[in-house]
Amino acid sequence: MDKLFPTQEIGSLAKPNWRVLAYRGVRVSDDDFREAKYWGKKLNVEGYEKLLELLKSEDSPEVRREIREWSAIYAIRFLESAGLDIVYDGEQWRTEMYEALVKEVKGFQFVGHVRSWDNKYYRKASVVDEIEWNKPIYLDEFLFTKKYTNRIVKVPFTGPYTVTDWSFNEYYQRKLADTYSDPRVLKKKAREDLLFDVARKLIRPEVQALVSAGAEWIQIDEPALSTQPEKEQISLFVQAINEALDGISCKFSLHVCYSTDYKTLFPELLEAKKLSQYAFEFANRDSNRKGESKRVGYDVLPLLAELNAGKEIGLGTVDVHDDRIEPQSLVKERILYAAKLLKNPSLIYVNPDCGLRTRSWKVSYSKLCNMVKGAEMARKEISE
Amino acid sequence: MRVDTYLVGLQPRTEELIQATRDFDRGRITEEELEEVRLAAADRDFALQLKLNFTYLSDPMFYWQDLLRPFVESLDGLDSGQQLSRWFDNNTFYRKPIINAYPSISYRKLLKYYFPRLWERKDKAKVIVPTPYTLFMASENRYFPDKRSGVLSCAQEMERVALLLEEKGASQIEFVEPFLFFRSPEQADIELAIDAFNLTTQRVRSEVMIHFPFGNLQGHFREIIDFNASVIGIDFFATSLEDVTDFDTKKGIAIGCIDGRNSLVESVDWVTGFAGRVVEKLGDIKHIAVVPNCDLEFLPRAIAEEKMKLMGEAKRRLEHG
Repeated sequence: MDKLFPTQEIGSLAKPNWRVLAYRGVRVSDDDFREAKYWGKKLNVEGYEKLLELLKSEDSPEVRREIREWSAIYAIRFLESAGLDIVYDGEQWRTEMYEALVKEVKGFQFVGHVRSWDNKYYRKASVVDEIEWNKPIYLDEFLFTKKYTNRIVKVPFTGPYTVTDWSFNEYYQRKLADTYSDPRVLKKKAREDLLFDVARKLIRPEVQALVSAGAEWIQIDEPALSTQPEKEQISLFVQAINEALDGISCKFSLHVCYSTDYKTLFPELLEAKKLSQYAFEFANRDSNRKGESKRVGYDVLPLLAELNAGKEIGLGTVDVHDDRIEPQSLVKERILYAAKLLKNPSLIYVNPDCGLRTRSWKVSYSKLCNMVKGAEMARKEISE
Repeated sequence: MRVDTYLVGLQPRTEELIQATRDFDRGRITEEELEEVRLAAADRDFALQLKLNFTYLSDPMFYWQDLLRPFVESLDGLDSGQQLSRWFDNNTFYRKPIINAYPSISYRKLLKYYFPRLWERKDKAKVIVPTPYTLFMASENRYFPDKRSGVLSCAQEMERVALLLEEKGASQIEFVEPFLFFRSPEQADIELAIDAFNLTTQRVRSEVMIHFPFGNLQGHFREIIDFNASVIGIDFFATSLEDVTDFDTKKGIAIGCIDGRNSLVESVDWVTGFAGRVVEKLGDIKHIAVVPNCDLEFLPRAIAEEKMKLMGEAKRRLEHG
């Protein structure tokens, strides 16, 4: 982009209560109804009165479908209104980044809830059979988003390593059980087989379907990537993603978050030539104090400068697990600090650390508005 | 040969308890109602452990949000940070503690994290705590001038914790040490972890287990001998059996061959067969335990219960040849 420090979403927004309840067929409360009205007005959502009527109508599959579409329209307007240059639909069509993808794929079977942190849980699937992709999963939501915005659209897409890592692996382990007697080796080999099958049989056809339909930017979400202690795992990811994306013409970025140390991804990750941007979480590890001469958690940036990586950086400037709203000036400081370390400001994109799904819309909106204004301030300061 | 079986780490909550914690967070039920569901879930867990004739009765740790939180809450000097950090290579996170002052334990606060029912079976009670090295390494240090003084100070305070739990009736205290061998450690770190561990456990008379979930112990068995523990817990999905050398056979080995991170339920034949291979490799080992490789909380509850049943059956078969 020509603009310095473009601002982008990174994925999910919370689903409004009216969306959650109405989609389940439960009548929404007066408070939830008022919430829908409030945001409809605030975001200038065209024809939002139709949503209000729907929220009072009888439940039916058609009503539920329309409610889901309205929540996507609200989320698109939400991101646009906050001032972002690159948007999506806040993943309003998806249950959750992992579940939404694998539930549509043959071979995966959900087996129950596993804790993410505190009282937050996610549904985890087991691979019980050979993987088989039958139809596009993200296509409808992408086409819908594209229809409702003129901004740049970036499709968040759960990557092969994370799908592998977050799934139990029964099928491939059973298949290799007679070949490897050591449980450590067996598990490792079965994991590799699953990773490459996910890349070839799930990710590649899904990416192809999106690109054929006009997707120009896909963000591969790989929160699990940096969790393994062995460098070999990064190389395996690189091989798998290269196989998945080879020959496909589209911009691809990579989002990794909550890593202990991003430096461990390099230099191996540079071999994934199709990836032109790395979007990482930084605000979570940085202090909220302004005026710091040395900020914490940005060590990967000098390394990328030293490696002459030439990759864009999606800079996480607001924390998605904390309700405190980062001041615009703090966002500005973070951007300028990172720009200095990376030695190339034109490579920096500005975003939240991760999806904002665990924050209320009120908090998310304030955070995003301040993020956009912080980027404006940084742009101004650097050009002076 | 003594054959034991027991749980290691946190237990997964029941689906009812998961729903109740969500309802509580959303203000739909009261704290008393949540507590009722929690106690019922704990009763079910205790009952299953007893029915399966587990050697020790573990607290299922349903009050614990992660391995460290009770210590953050009950150690003055530690505060709960906002930062969520990944728990090793799991899609699970913990709130990183911040060390702001010398740690000092409040017994009253700590004991709130255990179900009173645990202490009714003094011959069987088992508790699980982090090693001092893990407590320090998992935290952000804003107080101690260096790692050594920080880890050793944690060790002194964790000794008080261990003695308190022993006095309450813990027959086995499991110290969880995931940090040391997750990545290849520096020699100085191994020595520091051993010094700290031995300081913590020097006066403990209960059975002491040190457990290394997620850790590859290849090449470190000579050093592991120096941990003052009578049972060594090995994650056999992280350490290969062929790499187990120089094991001190005066100590017991907890064979972590039931995978707490895969839904595939092992067969009893495979588990007993693998335990047999371990025994064969170690020669004159006198004491083994068949255990999960890590906390079962990485599994949905129903699968964890299947694995618990498998553990009970494996123990029975190993005892009766």
